[in-house]
Formats: sequence, C-alpha cells, structure tokens
Amino acid sequence: MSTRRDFIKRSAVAATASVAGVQLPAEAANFVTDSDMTKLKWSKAPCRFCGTGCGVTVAVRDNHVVATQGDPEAPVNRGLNCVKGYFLSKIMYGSDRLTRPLLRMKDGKYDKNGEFAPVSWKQAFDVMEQQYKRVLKDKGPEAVGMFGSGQWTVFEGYAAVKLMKAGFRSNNIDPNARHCMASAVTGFMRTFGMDEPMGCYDDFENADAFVLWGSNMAEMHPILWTRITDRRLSHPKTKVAVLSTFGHRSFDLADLPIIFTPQTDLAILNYVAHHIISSGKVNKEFVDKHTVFKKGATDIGYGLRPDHPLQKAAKNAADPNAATPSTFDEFASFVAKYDANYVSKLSGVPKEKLLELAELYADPNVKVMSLWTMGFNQHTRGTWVNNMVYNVHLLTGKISQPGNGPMSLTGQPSACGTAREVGTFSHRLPADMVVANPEHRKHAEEIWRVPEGTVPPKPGLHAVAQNRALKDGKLNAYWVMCNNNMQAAANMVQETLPGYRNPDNFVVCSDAYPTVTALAADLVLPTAMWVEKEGAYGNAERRTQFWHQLVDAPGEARSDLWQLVEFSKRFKVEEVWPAELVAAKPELKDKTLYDVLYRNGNVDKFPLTEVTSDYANYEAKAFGFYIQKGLFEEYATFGRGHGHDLAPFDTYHEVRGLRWPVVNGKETLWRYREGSDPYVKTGTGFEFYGNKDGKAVIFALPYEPPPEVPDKEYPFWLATGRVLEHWHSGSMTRRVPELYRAFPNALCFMHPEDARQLGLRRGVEVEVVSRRGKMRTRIETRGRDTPPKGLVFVPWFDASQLINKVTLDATCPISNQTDYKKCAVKIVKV
Amino acid sequence: MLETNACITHAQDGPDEWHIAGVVVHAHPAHRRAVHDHIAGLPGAEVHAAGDDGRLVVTLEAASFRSIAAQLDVLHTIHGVLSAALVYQHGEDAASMNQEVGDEHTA
Repeated sequence: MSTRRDFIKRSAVAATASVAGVQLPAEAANFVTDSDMTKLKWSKAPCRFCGTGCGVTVAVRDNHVVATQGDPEAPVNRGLNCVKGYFLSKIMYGSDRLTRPLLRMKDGKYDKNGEFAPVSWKQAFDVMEQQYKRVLKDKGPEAVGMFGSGQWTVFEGYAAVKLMKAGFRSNNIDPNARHCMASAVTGFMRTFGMDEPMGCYDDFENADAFVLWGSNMAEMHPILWTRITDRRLSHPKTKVAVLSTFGHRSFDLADLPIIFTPQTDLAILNYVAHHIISSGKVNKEFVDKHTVFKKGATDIGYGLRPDHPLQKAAKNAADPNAATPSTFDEFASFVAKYDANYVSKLSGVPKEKLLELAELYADPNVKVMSLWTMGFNQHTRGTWVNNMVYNVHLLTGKISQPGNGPMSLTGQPSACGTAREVGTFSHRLPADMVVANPEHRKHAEEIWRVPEGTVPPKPGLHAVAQNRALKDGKLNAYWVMCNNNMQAAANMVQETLPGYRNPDNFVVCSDAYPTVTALAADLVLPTAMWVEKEGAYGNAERRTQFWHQLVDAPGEARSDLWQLVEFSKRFKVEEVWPAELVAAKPELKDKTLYDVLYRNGNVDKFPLTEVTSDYANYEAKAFGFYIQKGLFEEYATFGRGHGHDLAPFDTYHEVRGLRWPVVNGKETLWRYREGSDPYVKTGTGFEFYGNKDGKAVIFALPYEPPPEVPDKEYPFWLATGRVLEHWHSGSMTRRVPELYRAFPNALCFMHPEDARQLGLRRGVEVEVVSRRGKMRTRIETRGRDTPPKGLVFVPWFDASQLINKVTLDATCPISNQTDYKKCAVKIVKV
Repeated sequence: MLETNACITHAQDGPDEWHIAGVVVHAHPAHRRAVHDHIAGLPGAEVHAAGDDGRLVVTLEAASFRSIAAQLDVLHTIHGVLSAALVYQHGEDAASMNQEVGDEHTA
C-alpha cells in the first residue's frame, strides 16, 4: 500500500517533469494520477498577484484550497509559477482575516472617534446609507467618491462604474491603477488613440533584443523573465539591455547593463531617436505612410497643488496635454541636440554604451522588444517617456510584428481588464470612451437604459485629487475597495491621513484584512477574495481570463460585487437624481438604484439555471439571477464592433483566456498589422485605427528636470519600489509568515561608499528624512539591490515603516500618476 | 490612533502538516552537475530527473510551509541556477497525508 503522501509526491514529480520537458525514468513515468485517489477537485484560475496573468489549477478539499499547480495548458506560464504563486493557497487563510463588518462606535452608536466594534451587515449599511444621504443632501454628488482597484474583477469594476457614474452621478471614481498604469494609458492614447499594447507575450520567443526601461522583471515578473532567459540561452545572439537608476537582479542576465541618473531616460530616448535619424536608419516608407509628427507642450508643471511655487512657475500647467502639428524635419532638428556628448554627460552613461543601445533599435536586422513598468509610469514626465519609447519603434517600423514591439507591463492582475478596459478612472467610460465627450456619454446612457444627461460631463477627482479633497473637506462620503491607499499614496502624513480623519468625512474600507487603510476608516467591510467568488481578470497582453467560485468566503465576508449591488438597494432615484432627470424617464419613478442599474433587463437577463451546477455562486444566488454574466454581456456591448471585441461569456469559462479583439471566435495577437488584426483594411499594411487618420503620432518632447533634486541639505535621490516576496503594499503577502521571514522589514539599500562616508554600517538604524516627513529603517549595503553612489532605494511594502511619509506627491501632469521614483532625502543616524 | 503595527500578524502553520512542492530548476548547462549535487544534498530536497538543457525536476518536502519557502529561496541563490520555478504545491494535515490508498493505480 502507498499513502496519499506518496501519491501526491508522484503527482508533483510527474507534473514538474512534464512542464520541464524532462523524461522521467520508466517506473515514475507510468504513474497514473487520479483525483479519486486524492479526493481533490481541480479547477482553473488566473493567479491573483501581478499583471502577468499566469494560469494555475487550484485543488479544493472540504471547501478549502489545499494545493495549486502551474497550469500546463496556460499559454502565459506553461505550467510554471513564481514564488508568489506558491502563496496563493495560503493567502485566504491569514489568522486576522476579517469576517464581520466593523464600525467605529461609542455608547452603542457610530462615532468617528469611537473604537471598532463588530456589527451586522444591516447595521453597517444603515449607518453608511445615513451618511451617504446626509452628504448627498448637503453637498450633492460631487462630495461622494470611490477609490477602486486593478484587483477588482471585471464584474466588480463595471458594477462600481455604473453605481458611481450613473447611480450617484459622480465621476469621483478612480482605481489604484492610477498609481501604476495611468501614464501608460495616456501614453497609448496620445500616440495611438487607443489603450493597451499592440503586441503580446509571443514576442518573447521571436525577439533578438530585449530592452528593460525601468523594470526589474527578474523579481517582479519572474515567469516572463524565464521566457526571456530561455530565449537568451537558446539563441546566443540575443542581447539583453537593462536600464535602471539602481542595480537589481535583472542585471544578472544583462549583456548591456546601464545605470543612469534619474529622469535622464527622457534624454537617452531622444539620443536613440537622433542616432536612428543621423545614421540613416529611419524606415522612411513606414514613417511616411503610418505616422504623423507633433510637438508636445513643454514646461507643464508637476501636478502639485496650484499654490506650490513650481506649479505657479510652470507656463503650460493649465493644458499639459496640448500638442501642435509638426514634421519629420522639425523632429530631426529637435532631437539633434541630444547627441552622445550631451546625453552622456547628463545621464552618466558612457558614450559606447549609449551607442550600443541605440544600435539595437537602429539595426534593421535586430528585432527588439522594449519592456517597462513603474520606472516609466511613476515619473513626472511619465506620459512623455511612454510617447518617446513609441517614437523609436515607429521611426524604425519595429512594431506590431512578432518580436518587434513596445510592451508596457502591468503590476496588478486586472489593471488592464478592469481599471483600463472597464474604465474605472475619473475621466473614463468603458472601451476607451471618456465622460467629457457628449457622444460617449449618450452611448453609455443608451446601453445602461438611463435618461440622457445622467452621466455628468465633468471628469471627477483622480487619486491624488481625492486625497486632497478629503483633507480639504470637499469629498465627504468615500468608499475604498480592494486596495491599501493609506499606505500606497505618496505624502501620507500631510495629505492622506488628515483626509480620512477629517470629522466631516465618512470613510468606508472594504478589505479581506485589517490594512492600514482599514484601520484609518470609519467602517470596515469584510471582503471575499480570489476564488471565494466568480471572477474575471485581464492581463497585460489583452488576455481576458475567468474563474469559478471554488470555496466559500469565511464568516460574513462578502465579495465587493455583492457589497456594491446590495448597497444600491438603499437609494431611490428621487433621493439621488434631480426631478427633471427622473421626469425624463417616468417609468423609473420610485425605483431603487438597484432596479435601475442591475435589474434593467440587461444585467438580470440570464436566469440562475445558466449557472453551472458544478460550482457555487454566492452573488447569483443572493440576487436571483446570473449577475456576473449579465454584467459582462452588457459591458461587452461597449466594445464589440469597436476594436475591443470580447468573446461570449461562457467561452471564457472553457478556455485559458483570449486576447481581444476576439473576432469570429479568433483572438488577435498583433494589433494594427494587416493579416494579423481583422480591423486593418486590406492593402494598408498597417493601420493605427485608434486615431481617425489611421496614423500613430511621433512626439517631439524634451528632457525636463524633476521637481526635486538632491542638494546640500538633502543629498540623496530616493527611489521606492518592491521586492519579489511582497506584492504592492504587502497587505496579503505580509500575512504569509514565510514571506515575512524571507524579507521581514523594509531596508534602505545604499552604496557601501556612501555608507562609509556617513559612518554607517550595514544593519545600523537610520532615519530617511525628506522635506515632508521621515521614516526609520536599517541600512543595507549588500544584497539584491545595488544603488549607485548618491541614491538610496527603499521598498514600500512595510506597514510599520511607511516610506510614503517621505515621498513627494508630484505627478505627471497629463496622467496624474505619482512619481515614487525620485525625490531628495537625507540619511540620519539614529 | 493609527496603530500601523496592529495589522501585522502571522498566520501559523498547523501543528501537524505535510507540504510537498514540485520545482523546475533551470541550471546553466555548464553548472548542471554541481547544481544537481548541491540540491541533492539539501534536506527535504530530491532531484528526480535532469534534462540535457540544464533543467532539473526537484521536489521539496517539509513539515511546514515555511521550510518549503526557505528551501525555494535557497534554490535561487545556488551558483549556476538561472531560475527555480514552482510547478506544484500541496499542503494538508499530516494525518490525511498518511492515509493509505490502493496501489492499483500505480501500474
């Protein structure tokens, strides 16, 4: 006889050998896996951690997740998983999991200064309803807001947009993706008129060169990194260039390692463009047929409060997105000043390295893939630097072809699928539409079956503006869902915390764990997570992936979807809409927002009988119809026929994701190229159809300095970021003791010589001090991150050492995304 | 008012658990032998097979999730290891892991 343990071990060996493509000895290979033997039910789901979108299979026994496996059928990861994936089955079972609503109370009543006490859902929603109605009555919809997430499922994000924009009629909804993806979005919109990458992960197996611009893929996207590693080793001529302001693990594989002075990536990209032009490597036919030139507005400020001296001094702060038509010749002379001498001096990068980098782009025989994440996006010129990397791909025509293309990576599992595609931003609607456009509003109102004029035209408050408005008492009823913004937002002591604790405000936080944000709120709602609910995510290569509810949520924890929809039952249209709007559609009189938004004939179209009997579905059962399917199908009508086509709902439960646009059942690997993208007309070759003229824009944009640079008093650059073991603010990963052990507290990584000069030894306690605040940590002079002299790196996952007390809330003025990568600090021994 | 440390608590492993992980270790082909021997010498680790391209089929076993995580971390740091990617992960209480099952399926 053998034991379950033997059996499971042999399963592990068989699965691992199969994924590795390694032949097992005959005896082991003959082993047959059988779920009857292990009493496990295996189902597919995407990983819930990063934007890569790896597929896993999840084993459940007695309503508990006991095992996970990299899904060998998943094209993204082909059976592999990174260390984050190891913790998927543990992440729901932290001992401090929230299972009941908690309200700040004194003497049995809600009190902003009271202590958290458990309450029923009814009590929780009663108080929340009262507070929302008070604020709506006193100040109207602009005083109501929501901060959402790139970790929301597609259904949740869509339900939230409807509740806010059509229900409460407030555009004050923004996702935490504002902190990580906003510059990528505005970069895409300015250049291509349409969001998200044209290429896909299949580029990894086709490229001759990889250039990382501000991305530590080895740690942050390890599975994609294995695809680069495989390509590098199996095709020895492959080159890997890694650019960063400090050294990290991705440098281990770098053929061309480049450390540059913060902000000078702008100049380096103009040098590359200049080199392409001056060495005669422009793909003239491509440029003539498929691009136009524009000159962007300059001196656009830093997204600081209007009374900040830097903001007052900026000439074009009022219209940072402005651009004027230009020509190839004007562009050529614009970038001519970015020659090797000037850029080498500015960036600190030797001229030979700059040339070698530029040649990867210029050489017509090298297929090059550019990759970036926060180094580009968290940048006071984040939109520009995204535009500028497209410039070099467009000048050479190296785009939309296998192995040739710019690939903007994402950090959250559904930053693309939910935040961007659903449009949970303060200025957006689904499928790249915007609230400021009357046609777009009208279209949304028709699909939603609400009266014309329901969606307000003015863009709402974005992430940073929400925190400022909370502090200033202008935003008073606020719901934070599926994120940890108290810890994640920059300048927390001056801007974030005072807003949450402002006595005029009522702040609700929905989370699975008691995060810093939850503890700063007035009402905490316990949330179901990942496979405790049916879900859909969209990854960085436009792949939409679904999963079923596999286990029940603990205690009274309920999904964000249930919370949003259930809360909508508490408002009658008369209580939130002006009389004329109700009069425009008299049949809505006396209806609740629930009736109007979710029982509108679309969302409630699919009966419970369509829910598969193999899996539970708490929300469908609670509302009495297949709500996820109804929401998805209504949402999908926004994009079908407009280049954002999604497959029918049921298909996604069968397949390992599909990359949109999905036309006639076929996914699209490379957009904008004839033969690969069904939207490109025959005979055009390429068509950038997001723009009306079908052409992509090459932007002339300069180097401009960052808002704060090191000086005598604050002599160091501070860059913040992540480490592999902790994802984002660590609210989930910090709960897994193994992860906590591997990297228990944040450290201040510093060059050994800088440490010596300050008389600091490794492990010594210091304060990192900026003009805004300080935090205590310890010095690390060795290990995985190796800053150059003059720069320190501090990860931001640690709730006990909040680096965002120190950071500056300067943003890219076009994307409104914060620059967490550069400000000036001093290091003081404690 | 805002006690940030309060939210850092630790999920504990149960008293009697057993954890198994299957890992593909990609060794640089030049260091394959040394990596193989190094891993074979680690407590709880076993190398089951090796491919010509430097890929090794490895299992890790331990009584706690924590030990497996520590072993995974060690794999990354071995000289010559390009990547160590998880394929399979399983953890249950030790009693159910030790249940006997029939042999007929093992051919």
